Amino acid sequence: MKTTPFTATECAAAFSVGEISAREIAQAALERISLHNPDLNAFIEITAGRAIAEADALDAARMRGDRIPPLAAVPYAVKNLLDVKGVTTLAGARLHARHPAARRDAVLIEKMRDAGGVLVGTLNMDAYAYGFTTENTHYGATRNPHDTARSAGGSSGGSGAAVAAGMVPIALGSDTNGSIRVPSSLCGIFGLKPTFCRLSRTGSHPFVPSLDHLGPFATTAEDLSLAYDVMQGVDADDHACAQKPPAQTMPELERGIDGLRIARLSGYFDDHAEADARWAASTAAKALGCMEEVDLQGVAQARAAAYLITASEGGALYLDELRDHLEEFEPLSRERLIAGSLIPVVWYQQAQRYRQLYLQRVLKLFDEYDLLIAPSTPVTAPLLWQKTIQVNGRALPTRPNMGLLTQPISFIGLPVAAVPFWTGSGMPIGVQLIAAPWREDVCLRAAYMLEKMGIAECRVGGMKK
Amino acid sequence: MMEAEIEQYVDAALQMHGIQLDAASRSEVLNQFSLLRSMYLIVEKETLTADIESASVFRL
Repeated sequence: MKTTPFTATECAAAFSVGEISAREIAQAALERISLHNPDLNAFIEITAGRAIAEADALDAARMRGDRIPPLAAVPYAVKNLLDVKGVTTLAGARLHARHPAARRDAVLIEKMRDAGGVLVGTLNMDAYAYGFTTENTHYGATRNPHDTARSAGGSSGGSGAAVAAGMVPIALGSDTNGSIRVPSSLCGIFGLKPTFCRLSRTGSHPFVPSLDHLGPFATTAEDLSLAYDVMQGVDADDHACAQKPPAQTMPELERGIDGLRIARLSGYFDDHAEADARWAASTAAKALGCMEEVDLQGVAQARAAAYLITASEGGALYLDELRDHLEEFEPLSRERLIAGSLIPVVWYQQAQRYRQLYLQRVLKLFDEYDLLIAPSTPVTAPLLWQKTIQVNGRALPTRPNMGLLTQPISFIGLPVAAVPFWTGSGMPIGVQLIAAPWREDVCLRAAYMLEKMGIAECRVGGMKK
Repeated sequence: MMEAEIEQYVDAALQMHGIQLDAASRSEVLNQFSLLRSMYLIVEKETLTADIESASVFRL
């Protein structure tokens, strides 16, 4: 009996040698979506017609003897803040439903298509990307595949759930304050938040322009690296996109961690993490031979500054629509956006200036270390609609605080690979592998090493209702 | 900024923005704004000398 390949690497390999057609792979993905999505609500739109057309084009190209691209026949899906030609970009918000369909794909989707990817749909998220739980009043909550009573995380919760449930091997999402790393942690998958400005944001709906990043999710570190590599490249249409040539990470994976100087972040990162999260970070550190701890100063201020910048830029972005269409806003974030639009400019300036101070402080740390380790989330997946989480004896509101450990890192744009660990409760929790700007290769080498050692792993499927 | 001053500021800023809210929504905006102010107080503690400009985040 022929087994349908699942991971991106498996799909591309099986297709390239003619073991299976791209159409068969696409149809298998669409069947998995039909099977699992009703329980999870990960997808907002399934682009079956496009997927079959893209798959057929790949099959025809192979018949002609054309070059096989690196992601050939790999099904993937995208957070619905990325433009998909012919589909209205919702960014999780009913407010945007009246907008016309996108006239072209986002640049990252063009790159995925050129690399042979097959787009199967768009994915649910917190409205406007403002949240960490994907509890969406208008489009429904996304459920965690490992326990459907629990949150898949957010704001890229649909991306996390779609990969963790085995519907697609790769998904794209965005991360402003943790929206790739939080769902990766809660769903038990790999995620990469690249260096700020590394990947083009053209054709993505903004939230906080000075903090927004885009990146991939996958079930293996190798797939993560593969997806990241094909999406790199200069984009003149995105003023923030780095004018740097691509730095391929796939050839670096097998180098392992030899020569890397590694430290675990303690202090704030221990104080704001429950036992499971501290255990995961310590386990990763031990496996990577890390003996040192660093108590980075000013992390609470960094988190507070990120919170202010987010509220201010997000509020300003939506001010006109708050004025004119208040009743159409997501009730869970409407007042947060309004309050953000009222922030005095001196608060915002103080936050942006502190960002410079903190950035310089952390960059100095990379004179001594190549890789820093910290938990991704304070706790494992909370129940959906759970009001508070307990963190070292304190009850904190769930929705804004799942990013306590991710916000201080994305605040200064550092690249992070999120890797999955499994707790005694059977639920996953993630660890952040953090490197200096532009050193995604270091993050991914460590992620790949942990996976090869059997320490970090993605457990696809295993749905529990 | 005391509670009464926050209320005055928020009401004036809402009026300037042209946003009209019902009582429940106004109350929640006040809660959120108070939270933002508490965040500012954390950042305000840092002494920033005049030579520290905004982070050059677009030129990492």
